Amino acid sequence: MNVMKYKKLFLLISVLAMVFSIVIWSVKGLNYGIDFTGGTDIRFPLAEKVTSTQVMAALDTEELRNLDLEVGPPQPYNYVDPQTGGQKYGVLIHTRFLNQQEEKLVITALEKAFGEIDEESGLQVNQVEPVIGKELLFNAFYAVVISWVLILIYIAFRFEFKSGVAGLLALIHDVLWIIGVFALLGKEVNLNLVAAVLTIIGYSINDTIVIFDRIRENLRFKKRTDSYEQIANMAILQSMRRSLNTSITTVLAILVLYLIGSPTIKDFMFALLIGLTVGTYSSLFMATPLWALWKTAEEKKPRSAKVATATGK
Amino acid sequence: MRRDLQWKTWLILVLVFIVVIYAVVPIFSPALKQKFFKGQDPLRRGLDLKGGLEVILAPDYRVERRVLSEVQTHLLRAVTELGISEPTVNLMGQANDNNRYEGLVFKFATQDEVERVLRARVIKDKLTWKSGIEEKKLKLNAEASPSEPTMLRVQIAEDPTNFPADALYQAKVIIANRINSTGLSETVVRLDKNKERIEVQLPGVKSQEEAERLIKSTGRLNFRLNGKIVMFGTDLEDAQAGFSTNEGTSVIHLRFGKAGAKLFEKITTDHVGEVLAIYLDEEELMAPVISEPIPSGNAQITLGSGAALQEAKDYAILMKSGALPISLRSVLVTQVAPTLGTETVRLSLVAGTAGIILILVFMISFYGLMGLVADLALLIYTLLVVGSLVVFRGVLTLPGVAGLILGIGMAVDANIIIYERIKDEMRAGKGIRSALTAGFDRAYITILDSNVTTLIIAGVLSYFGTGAVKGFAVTLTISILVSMFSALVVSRTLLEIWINKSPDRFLTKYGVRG
Repeated sequence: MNVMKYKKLFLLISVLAMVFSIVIWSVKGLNYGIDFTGGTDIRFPLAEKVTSTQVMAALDTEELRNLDLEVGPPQPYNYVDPQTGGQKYGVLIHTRFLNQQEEKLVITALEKAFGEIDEESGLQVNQVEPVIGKELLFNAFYAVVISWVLILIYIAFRFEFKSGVAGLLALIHDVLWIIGVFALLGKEVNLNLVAAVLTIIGYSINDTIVIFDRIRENLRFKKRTDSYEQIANMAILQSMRRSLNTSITTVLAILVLYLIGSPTIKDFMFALLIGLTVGTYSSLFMATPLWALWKTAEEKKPRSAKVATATGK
Repeated sequence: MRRDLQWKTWLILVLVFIVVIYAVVPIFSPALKQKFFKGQDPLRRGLDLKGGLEVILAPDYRVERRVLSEVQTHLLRAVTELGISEPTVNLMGQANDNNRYEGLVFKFATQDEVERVLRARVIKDKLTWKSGIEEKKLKLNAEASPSEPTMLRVQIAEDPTNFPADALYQAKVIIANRINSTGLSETVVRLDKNKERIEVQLPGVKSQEEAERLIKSTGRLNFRLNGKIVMFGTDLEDAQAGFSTNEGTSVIHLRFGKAGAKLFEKITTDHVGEVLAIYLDEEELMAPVISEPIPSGNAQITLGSGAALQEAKDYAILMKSGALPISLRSVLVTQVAPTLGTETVRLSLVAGTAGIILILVFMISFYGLMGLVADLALLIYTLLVVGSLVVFRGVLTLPGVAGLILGIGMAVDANIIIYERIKDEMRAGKGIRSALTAGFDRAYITILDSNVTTLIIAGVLSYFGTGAVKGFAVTLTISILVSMFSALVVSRTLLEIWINKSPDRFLTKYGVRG
């Protein structure tokens, strides 16, 4: 089987996916959570299902209106209680960064409309000061970029610089995919997502390295007639089964968590699922063809300078 | 059996034994739990899995309203001296927030006036404000509002040098003492000196009231005569609630330190009959009248008749805890309901178990008996990873659970790499033993290279992460290291024992055809 026959197609798919992600990202923007924007999230437990308008009406009191809380559209949610198997309801309300007094006012208004809650009911309040949010966002950005740079250095050191660049491009591809899908679906981008993205970076580069390792070994036995494409093709075929088996087992485990997980766990697992799938694809069909193309192009280039010095001596 | 196999087998058995005794048995035996972990859970759960509160406190450098109104008068005078008609002034920042604001917003008639004020530099960068014993250095920053050019926004903040250099450290110690006296377990109070932040974790706190008392009482205690601060709470050494049978009502005993006692004597002597109001930051707690000079440094506040002892206790706590050298405000609050946390744990356990079973089945169906060896290695991995988390007192968080699952993936991966290698070697015509050795030797480099990169990521995460993310980094590191151990040592030992025992059976099971 010659996988490399379709290398241009594979690369085209990857490039298109990246462009598509960037377009969606810039058009739709990302739905940053309060981790990054700052603000207050209140998850208020409810006895039964309510609509967004009902919640809005409950918050529309004279007192709250005067405070200008910048209330976003309330998002009702429900999930299965693993203990009883029954449905549980709640509503997520997003406002600007509230102080204790304001927070109490909001909760009192909600209790007035939907009944009092006790401490076991599952009320959740998260608050992030806008300044901290900005700092967390920058930290997340630095974390991703620095991990990219370190990985590039490591691969360049252990393998070669070209492998490093090819691997890095595959990583950027994976991260763009996750960002693109999250932008498309309007899912919340928060600190947990950053952890998921970094996990995927680790996983995907792990995958890529296993293939590059095969290439490194195949190169040792390279005959003059072997092209870089043949070497790459052989490496892909050799590691394909391992790549698929590993991905399938991990995807299985993550899928279970995704399917029965609570709302908080779901998005995290969702990001991992996309990343694992895309990461496996990019290692096999993006990083490796890229490396082969680059090496072939380099070989074809006339090495005039080197030859000249050699003859000059 | 070969010597190295012997000691490796023992090493694995001993490790498993230690983990089972130290980490698994205590879950079922309260006596051992008490002995090893002082009754706490062997596996520490993060806030997201246990429920509780995390608060990050930062110094509040915003300026009190009473100070701002004087600054406002001062600035207005400077502006009108330029011959500009008086602008309207608003406070910058949130209302109801500790009565402190970020600055002042001046609205002028024209944009030209804004520019004139800026050019004339009548709003200085620094200002010193004085009143009674209070003296504040203020930092000002004036700039025209980009959206509305007739508005001049003046940010005003306290200069950090107004406070002693170790004010934050003192504040941290006070908060830590307070939390410890509540008897909560596994609390964390951490000071980040560079970022000027105090991180407080209160796992298992059920009511927000309990935590709120701590958050709310982060202000600075002060005593005021006629609205002017005459003394700060830092001089207060102790505040105790009690019941006075003489008066028939609840009282609060205050004890001042040496310097405080002297100052308190002077104030009470000079102002008998006046009200000495006690404030927490900008909020009035109570306004007792000075009935006589108090020389000893021991004062007693008598509450009105009918006041409950609890009320006196609450005041005493507020006064004692309010004796912070610097005002703090919470900049990040994460509250997870304890019930939600337990739900997540239960779900993750179910999902994790289901995931592991799926992997076990997959490995057996794909690699047969060799898969069974991998499965055994995987189970040992799971045990060891949980054990390491317990031993290193790592904190398991929600992303951490994912880290463990990825670790399982990596462990399986390592086994798959090894088996595929061994098969390759056998296809190339090697005997089982040499195929096994060659397979492991080659896979060794691959596994090392691929895992080092993941370790790099874990390092980056732990450097940049906060709270839950940091916990995830630790879990990820532990699971990668253990997964390498499980594949390279456990799996290999098991396979070698098997091959040594019955090489022929291994060959018939794994004879590679073609």
